[in-house]
Amino acid sequence: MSNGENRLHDVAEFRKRLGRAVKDLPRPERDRLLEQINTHLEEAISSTSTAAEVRAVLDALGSPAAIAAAARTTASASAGDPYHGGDRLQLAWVLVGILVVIATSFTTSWVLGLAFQAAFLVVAVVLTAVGRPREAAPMYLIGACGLHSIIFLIGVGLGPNLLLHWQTLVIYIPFLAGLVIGVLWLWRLRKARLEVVPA
Amino acid sequence: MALLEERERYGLELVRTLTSLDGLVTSEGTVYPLLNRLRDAGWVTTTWRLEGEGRPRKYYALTANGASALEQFREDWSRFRTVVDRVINSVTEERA
Repeated sequence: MSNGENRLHDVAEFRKRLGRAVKDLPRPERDRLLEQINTHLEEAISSTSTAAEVRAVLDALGSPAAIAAAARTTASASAGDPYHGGDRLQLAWVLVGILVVIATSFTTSWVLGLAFQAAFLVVAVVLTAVGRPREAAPMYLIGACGLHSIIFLIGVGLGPNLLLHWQTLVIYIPFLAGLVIGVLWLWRLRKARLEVVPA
Repeated sequence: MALLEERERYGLELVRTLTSLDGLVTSEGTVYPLLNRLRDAGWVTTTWRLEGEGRPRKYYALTANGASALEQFREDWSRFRTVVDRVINSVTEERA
């Protein structure tokens, strides 16, 4: 095996072992970590010329098991972090959102109800996004609009005379649209993140 | 986070700077999960940029929330260090 082949073989072997070591991590965590390590390796190895130098780069990076253990520790710590995933603030906004929907359902003007709910969603999405990961806002949009849509569907099942009125349907169209926009938004963010650096 | 206070840095640069400090980090790869946690907490943001030879680099920058957290940590650390110093010195004095 030539010197160049040796270098590639060591790196490929390291990547394979790391892939196995982080297999149990949640998919987003795993993808993000592998992407970072790949970028690190590509740059660090570009300035090496011998197999020994490549091995030094891999040694400095640490064993795949140690990297995976560090990722597991921080992933479980983040799960209890108030800013991570199931953010309490987001939950509070969703609960307030449900109250807003119920309250505005009793307004005499459906235009006013629609305006109230739309304004609430915009404020909630902006406040959820401030200082949080980019995925927070679309996730909020999905959560809030999804719940609003579920309430609507339950309402249709319980009281068709009240909720199947065309005005009520019009009010809920923006929330169904918000749900679709939120899913597409999140999908685009995650796709962009995964596509930047090929494995 | 203190390293990001003055300017943003890309992954390898940040990792190499941290590992060059004696005893702070054992291996370079373990820094990335920590950076991810800071990002999840909203304390740092990341941006991809294409540099020379079309190489993509992920840059890390401190957010306003991160700057506040760093400030708070500095205060907490200073208090903690003072208390530990006091305890260690009192034990040393007792032995003397």
